[in-house]
Amino acid sequence: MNIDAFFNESEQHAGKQFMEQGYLVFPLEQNKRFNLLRRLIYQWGCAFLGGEVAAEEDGFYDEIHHLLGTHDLNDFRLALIHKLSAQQGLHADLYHMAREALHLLVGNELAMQRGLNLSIQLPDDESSLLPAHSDVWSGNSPYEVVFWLPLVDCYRTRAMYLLPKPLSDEVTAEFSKYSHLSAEDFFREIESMVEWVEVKRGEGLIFWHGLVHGNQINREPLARWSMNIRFKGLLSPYGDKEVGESFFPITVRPATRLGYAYRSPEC
Amino acid sequence: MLNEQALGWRGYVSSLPINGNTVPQRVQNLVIRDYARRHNLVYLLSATEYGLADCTMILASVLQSLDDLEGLIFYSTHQLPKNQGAREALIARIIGAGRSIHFALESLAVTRHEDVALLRDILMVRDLALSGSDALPFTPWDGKAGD
Repeated sequence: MNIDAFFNESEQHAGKQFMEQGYLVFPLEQNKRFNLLRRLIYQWGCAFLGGEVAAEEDGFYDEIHHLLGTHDLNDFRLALIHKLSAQQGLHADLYHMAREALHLLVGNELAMQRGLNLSIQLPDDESSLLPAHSDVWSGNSPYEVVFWLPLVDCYRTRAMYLLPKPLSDEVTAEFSKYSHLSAEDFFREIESMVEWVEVKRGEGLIFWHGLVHGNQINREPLARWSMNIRFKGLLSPYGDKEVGESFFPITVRPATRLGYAYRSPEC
Repeated sequence: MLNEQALGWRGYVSSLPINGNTVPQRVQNLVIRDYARRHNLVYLLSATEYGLADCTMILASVLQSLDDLEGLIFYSTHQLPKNQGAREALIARIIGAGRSIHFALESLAVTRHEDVALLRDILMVRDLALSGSDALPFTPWDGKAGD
């Protein structure tokens, strides 16, 4: 049986890319939802800054470092995360932005991360370093993927980096060479191999978080804003981040419900 | 109707391992207290279930005093009865009495019948998916579990 026959051409291409490299950049669906999200964060941010913000929306995002010092960044970010967490329907909005890509790469019966994250990397801010790592090393299930959503154009150090799958596999296979190093020294060893994933505003990135990834200090003149949310197959194995505490079911299909509820007749 | 003397939410902790992990009662209480503080719930001293397999005597005693409480705060959903019917009956009893049930570790609250759907789905997925803990607590399709 030809298993490729079950996927159309674009699905085959995307699946092949993901299997070979471990990531996929794709155009977002539901641009209205994305634009509304950006608008909401802009409005909340302005309110936090006292309402007297001269920058228009694009300027607010690109040059937030001119409106906010690094010492205020974490309070600002947490205030926005608090607002995001309270925003009704946001989980569904995020899912719908990446629905087709998620269905292709993970399946259409899904669980989604409960907590919402927002990352802001100001230019030259040394406090926002994310060391090279794979989330699976921290106990996450290898069945999870990350939907990385930039709110601005991301490129070079304004983006995140990852080690494409063949190189991640090599590093993982020879990890004893690196395990005694500090996180920063580890990055120096792999720096020449990493890929800075260019993702434009209006696009999304889904990557398998078994890849080694992270970010370095943003040396570009504009700030980086991004969100990241994990998805996994509803019934695939969970790691330390279990269903209930860290994930919740979002698209349980009728067959699963009926199967679970089934009781054999008693003679 | 709430008793005029209703004081708050009773914590509920376990003496046995929870989901295969030994969690000291002190730690369970810390998690419950933190949850109560973050959600502005008046936390009452936790009731500790006996360390006997499948024992719910202390829980039964707490339920008998439901009139004097606004609800319960479990450390975790893993403390719920494994039997689906017993679980449903417990939740129905608490919600039916106008009380709420909270799960501190998972930060989940069941305050109305509509909240039960998400909890049910979470427990169903936990039963069906391999989560690295012990084998499934029951096999739903053999007719021996549930109602």
